[in-house]
Amino acid sequence: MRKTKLVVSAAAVSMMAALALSGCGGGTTESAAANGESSSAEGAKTITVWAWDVALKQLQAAAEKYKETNPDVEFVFEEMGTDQIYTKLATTLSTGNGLADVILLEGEQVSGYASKYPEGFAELSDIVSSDDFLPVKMGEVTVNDKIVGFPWDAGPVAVFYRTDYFEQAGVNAEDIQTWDDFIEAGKKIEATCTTPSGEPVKMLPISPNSSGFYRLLLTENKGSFFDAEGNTIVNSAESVEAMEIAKKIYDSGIAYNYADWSEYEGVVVNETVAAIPEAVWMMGTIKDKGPEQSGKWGVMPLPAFPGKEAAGSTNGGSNIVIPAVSANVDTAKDFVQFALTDVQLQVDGFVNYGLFPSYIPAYEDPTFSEPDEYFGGQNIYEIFIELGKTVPAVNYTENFNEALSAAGATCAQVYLEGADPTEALESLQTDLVSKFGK
Amino acid sequence: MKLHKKTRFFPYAMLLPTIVIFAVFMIYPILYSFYLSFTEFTGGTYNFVGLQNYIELFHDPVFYKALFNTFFYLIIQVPVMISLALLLAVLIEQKFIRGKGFFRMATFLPTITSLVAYSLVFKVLFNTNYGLINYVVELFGGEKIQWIYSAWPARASIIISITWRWVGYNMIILLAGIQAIPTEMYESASLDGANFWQQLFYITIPAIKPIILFTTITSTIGTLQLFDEPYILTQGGPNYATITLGEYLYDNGFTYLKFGFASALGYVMVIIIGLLSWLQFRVNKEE
Repeated sequence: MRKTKLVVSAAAVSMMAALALSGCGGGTTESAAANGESSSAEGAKTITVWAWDVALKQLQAAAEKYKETNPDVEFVFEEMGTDQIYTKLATTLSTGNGLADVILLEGEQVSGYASKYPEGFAELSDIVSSDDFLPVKMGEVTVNDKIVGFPWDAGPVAVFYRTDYFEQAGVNAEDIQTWDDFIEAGKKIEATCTTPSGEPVKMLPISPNSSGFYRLLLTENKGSFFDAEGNTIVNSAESVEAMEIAKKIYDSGIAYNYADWSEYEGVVVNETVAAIPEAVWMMGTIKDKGPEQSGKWGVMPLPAFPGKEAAGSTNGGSNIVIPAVSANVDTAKDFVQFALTDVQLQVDGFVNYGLFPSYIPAYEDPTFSEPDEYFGGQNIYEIFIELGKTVPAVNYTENFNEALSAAGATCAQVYLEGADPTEALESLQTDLVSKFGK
Repeated sequence: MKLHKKTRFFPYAMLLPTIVIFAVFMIYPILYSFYLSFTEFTGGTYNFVGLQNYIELFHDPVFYKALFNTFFYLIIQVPVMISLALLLAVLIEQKFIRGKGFFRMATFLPTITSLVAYSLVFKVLFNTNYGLINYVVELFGGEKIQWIYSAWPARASIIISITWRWVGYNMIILLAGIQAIPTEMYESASLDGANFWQQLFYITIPAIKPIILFTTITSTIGTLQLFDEPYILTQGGPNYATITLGEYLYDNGFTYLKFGFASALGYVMVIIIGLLSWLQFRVNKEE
């Protein structure tokens, strides 16, 4: 009796591991014909879409418009969160069964799936013309020299700042040229301004357990985790410099610690910080969480590295992929091309949902040169457009996620345990090279 | 004769669905993941790589961190929780306690609380700047504790959370054991002048020893597989200070898509849990 229990409990553990993993077997031998789910008998075509949140709503709007000229195409929209999509994608790509025809992925995730499943996604070189999109987005969707995704919204980064706090402390946004200036301004603001709840105002929020801020600086400094051949280069001069600046900012005491998304939103609600260096989509959160702060926010470019020219950075955004086994690859391609290059749809997506297009011709629309009342009538979009164009393409490779969490741990060492940036990054480099073999 | 054969076959026919389901969803995954642990998933196919995953695992500093954390939780949390559960169970059974049903329910409630809801509440409680726990700490003149941003307090917060969640569950099991002890034993012990502690150590604990062992083993297995709390509360951070084997397995399998490596890690966990359970039975038998 007791023995059985032992065996059962041991079996239960291996179950946990096995059940989780076994769904992923089977190789990639499934043929396109096997996926009958999305084709229907009557000759009418059904396109299934997996997407989340506002992007789903925007794709629904695009589908309505698409059906005006293509009445024989039907759409099925399945709202799924990012985690849901990734878990389901890993299993369905292995078996070739149950995949949607149009799938939304976060920008940085395309290369991981496309390298693990080289035959997984339809090649889109014939519908994506590289010059029409921001270079950083083309980098996301180009895997092993093949274009496997359609670039959608971009995340160019600038600094959102509180004009009232700046004024109160006598800080002039135009005078903040470098990160050193930024630190000085932060100290002044902390000394003079208080939040509505009476705490001193911090300069910016940083999550010390995550690599977010370091990566923002790394991209600004034209560095990345991997070079064009996929070799790990986290100990490059650019990377060390970015980490040093990050540490300098954190150690100066001007940063406010936050741990997760709700706390990040909290810094807007509680008016805790005077500045937020973040991608353009943060605009939506600021307006949403701080409607009464209208007129108190402005946008300025990222401060530069000492002795270097100001540059842009990027964070987030999404792309669309079409599984190669889809029974309606051509229709799906046609729809995606329409949904993501129709200028009016891009403008609507931006105005309604804050989806900042990476399709450059869309920027010609007058909407993108209009002033924003919330931001004190400042013409903020031009800043993001100009910065977005300066961010170079980056090679993400299949190892990106693992490098990302390891870099998060390295940042925690540097911020919280006082590790030396050079040493910490050297040891990260050694770890990653031994894991990835390059 | 024919009928006899039929009746012998019949039970197996009835069991067949269970056996088939068990084979498909238990046996096959167990064997297949064992095979996967010798493969590497690259370029859309599983390539046989021999023991490479296991070698890589034993050279992986994060694996050792996860192992250390898991055992740290185990060594600190399981004894604390079982003692606490025992104490609560004994207290609830005391004659002078009124409203036993209420206390039983109140202690058990955390076990059935939604994981996400409870983790969110604990996140707020442990918040450095405006959390209730730091507020109390400051009230007593202490300094704010960086619960999520330094290694040992982060580990402590995980231990506090899982103890809160599971103490009631173990308490109920122990309580059932205590209720089965004949009250005459306590009465005669009282007549002989045994106090509360003597009754606890010489009657209650020896009488429910098998049940204590059971709760210890299930808690050990539960702790070794711990995933939810570090995943939601601390995301394994800071600097892998709270990551567990379970969370590392998930990361490798579903975030890094390294199914072979994750399977190898799963099998190492099976071996560790098997060994520990065997050890606990041995210790119990010898005594």
